[in-house]
Amino acid sequence: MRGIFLFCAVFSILALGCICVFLLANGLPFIGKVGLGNFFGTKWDIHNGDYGILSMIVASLYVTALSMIFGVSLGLLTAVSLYKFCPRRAVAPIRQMVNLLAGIPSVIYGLFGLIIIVPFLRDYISPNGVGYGILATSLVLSVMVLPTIVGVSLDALNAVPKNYYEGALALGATKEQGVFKVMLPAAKSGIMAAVVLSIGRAIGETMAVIMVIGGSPAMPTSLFQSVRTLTANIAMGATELSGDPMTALVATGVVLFFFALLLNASFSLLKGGEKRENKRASKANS
Amino acid sequence: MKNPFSLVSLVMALVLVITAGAGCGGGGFDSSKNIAVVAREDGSGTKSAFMEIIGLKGKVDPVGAIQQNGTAGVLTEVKGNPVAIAYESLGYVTSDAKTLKVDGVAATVANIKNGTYKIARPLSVIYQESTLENDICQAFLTFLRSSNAQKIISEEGYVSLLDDAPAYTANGALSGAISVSGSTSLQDLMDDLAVEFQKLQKNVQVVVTGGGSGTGYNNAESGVTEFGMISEEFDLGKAPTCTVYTVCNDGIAVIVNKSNPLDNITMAQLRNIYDVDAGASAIIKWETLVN
Amino acid sequence: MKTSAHQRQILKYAAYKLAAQAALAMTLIALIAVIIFILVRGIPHINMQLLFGDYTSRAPSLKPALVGTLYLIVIALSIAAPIGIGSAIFLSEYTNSKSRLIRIVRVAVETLAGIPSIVYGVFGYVVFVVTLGFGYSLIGGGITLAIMILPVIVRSTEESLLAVPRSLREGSFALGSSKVRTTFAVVLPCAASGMVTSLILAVGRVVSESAVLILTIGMAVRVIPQNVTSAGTSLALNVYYFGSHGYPEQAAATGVVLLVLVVAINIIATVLGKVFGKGELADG
Repeated sequence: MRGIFLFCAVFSILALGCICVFLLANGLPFIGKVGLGNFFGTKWDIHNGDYGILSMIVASLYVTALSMIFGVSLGLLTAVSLYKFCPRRAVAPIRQMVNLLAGIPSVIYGLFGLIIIVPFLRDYISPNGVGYGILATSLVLSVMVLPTIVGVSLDALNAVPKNYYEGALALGATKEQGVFKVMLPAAKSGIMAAVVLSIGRAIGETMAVIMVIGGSPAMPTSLFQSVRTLTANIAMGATELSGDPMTALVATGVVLFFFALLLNASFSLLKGGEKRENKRASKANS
Repeated sequence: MKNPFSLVSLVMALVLVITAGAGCGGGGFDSSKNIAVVAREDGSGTKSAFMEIIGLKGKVDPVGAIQQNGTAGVLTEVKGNPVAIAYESLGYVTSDAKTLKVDGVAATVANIKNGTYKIARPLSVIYQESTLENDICQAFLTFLRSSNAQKIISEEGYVSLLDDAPAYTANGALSGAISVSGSTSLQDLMDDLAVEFQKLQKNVQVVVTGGGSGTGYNNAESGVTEFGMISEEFDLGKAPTCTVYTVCNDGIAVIVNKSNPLDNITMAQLRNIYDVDAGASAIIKWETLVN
Repeated sequence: MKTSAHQRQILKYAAYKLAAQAALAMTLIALIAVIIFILVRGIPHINMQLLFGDYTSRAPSLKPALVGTLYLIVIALSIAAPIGIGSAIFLSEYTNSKSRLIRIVRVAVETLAGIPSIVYGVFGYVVFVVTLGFGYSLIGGGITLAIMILPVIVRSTEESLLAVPRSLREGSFALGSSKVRTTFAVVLPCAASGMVTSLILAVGRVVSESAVLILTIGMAVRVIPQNVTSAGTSLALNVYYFGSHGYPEQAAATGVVLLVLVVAINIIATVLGKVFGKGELADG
């Protein structure tokens, strides 16, 4: 029996190994074949053998950065508000609703972007008649990551020992000062973990993005320009391409995989940091 | 804020107001704005045919073109976007968009047949010869050549290539299923043809799926589906073991939003809109085309 | 002078508080807006033809997607549930948390949880569509989804196993039960609520997922899949297909169906968790 359970446990390792091997075995030889300069170049023209994904990396980074600026500022303030500045009785229902919203399929957010945000930007905001692009995508993504940021930041705030806050008040700080100057900095690494988690979701999100990004494989020069992210590149070509262009999509997946590994590593570092800090704090208090 | 539900109800009220507001309105045509160039995804037959005919064979889309996956997506975009321009299978164009004359010639079946409307391409099915050993496939191909099929082709706004086709005679012994996949430009027509064929051959099912011409080539070549649909001149290099049958011809219409005052566009203008390398002669804004 | 600086400080933080409350309102507005928009746009277009009719280009139907989604749930759960639960049992019952193996397993589970779903899709494409030659198939998509939901099941099952008090296990050992018997007769029944909840949440993930499927099951929106090797589609994939292929009304209607399904799944999970949770307290 132990053997069966052991196999189940090792299955995750095997699966991860398989993913690494299959992705690298299919992606890396392709990158080697077309050359690093071509693959990380700016020109994507599959009919002429140009597979440059630099513009997509840049677009992915822009979209992620902008959605984090919107999403983190709004989400963090929301979490603070739920932590102290909100009627007590409202906290639990709001919290439950936010949890529910975290489970909404990303295509729903994409559809919202497609039928509401894109036409709105096109008709009222955009200077050039294009609603698709970085701004639309960032707005969609920032709404999408809000539940994650709110939930995880609130947990981080709740994990900070209460006597920090009480100590601040005892020293004459107002309620607001106690929250913003003491609790928020104390929850720093937990909040950073929330941010990293959301970056992972934003950079890896596909379906919500392809519906609002526009899809042109060009270097981004404006917020209202049809561009293409790494994820969109994979999903848009997936149903149409074959041969080398399809392998180029697999190689794009490898690049995305590396981004994900990087974010995973920083997430576990931050999580570890949060645990250590809170442990040290409660030890010092007891 | 004493009552937690006052907050929630306030939020609800605000949302309802916004919902009501967003439903109406929308900007009209504005010639000072940039042209929103709509293109199809790589692998689309409509795209490669259009680019080839206007003289931009093998070129990529202009920077920032909006890519739509599928024929119907293009129409939806043009319907909603006052400053969009797009190309679209003529059989698909509805009154939701405005079709432009090209070099003064209207995009009609008659003009395509007599050759004056230049932007037209064949819609074809491709198959492996061995496929025809299957009686249903043979019968389906015979049906595509029959007067029954030509009637539907003409009714749907495509250009029939056979004038005196014989009527199709059903073979009661046939039963089974075949599948057809590929170009979305041909998909709707093929759906209608399949429905008619199934009426004549009660025990036969024809399954039609889309995907694009690229999918059509792949699936016919690898035998995933019996027939592949393509919407460009047959490229033997993409499916070396396949044979082609051209079902009909189809024009590619150049379409703009209904609020757009433009009626006519020249080939040269089209090229300068869709050419990524047009440089200084590139047409960026509508005011270049509309006075 | 000093007082005024102090005063200013207090005002500044009061402003922060206002900003935080405004942010809360905006967050709620944004999230509720998404749902209300989808409902307003979608509900008028839900009808029998869309739900259960036969698919034609003019009147698309969700029947193939409903069947496909069901296939995917069954395939993914029947693979991920036993492996995930077995894995959690090993992690909580058979090793102490200091062992090297357990650390590696944990890192692997965390890493799997952090991989974007489109990368799973590429993996599924490379393995099932290309290498194994299945072509686009529900079985390929289902297995890929199974790997993707594995971390969800492992983590929450392990949590509910660890929540079972040590004393119950020790009591069982004292009565002479073996490790396996203790696990199956004592620990698992006590953790049942948590496990069921985690499986239901995993179903929620399967239903919501679309990026994996676009690369593995082929988005065959018209045909009802005949068996697990058929190409297929799912509800979430249909929202994308309809949305970007010229059926905006049907996309919103499908979105409503999907939304109702996901919310129902979440509520069932929460309610079950509560009901079972109370039972456990009584037992303890």
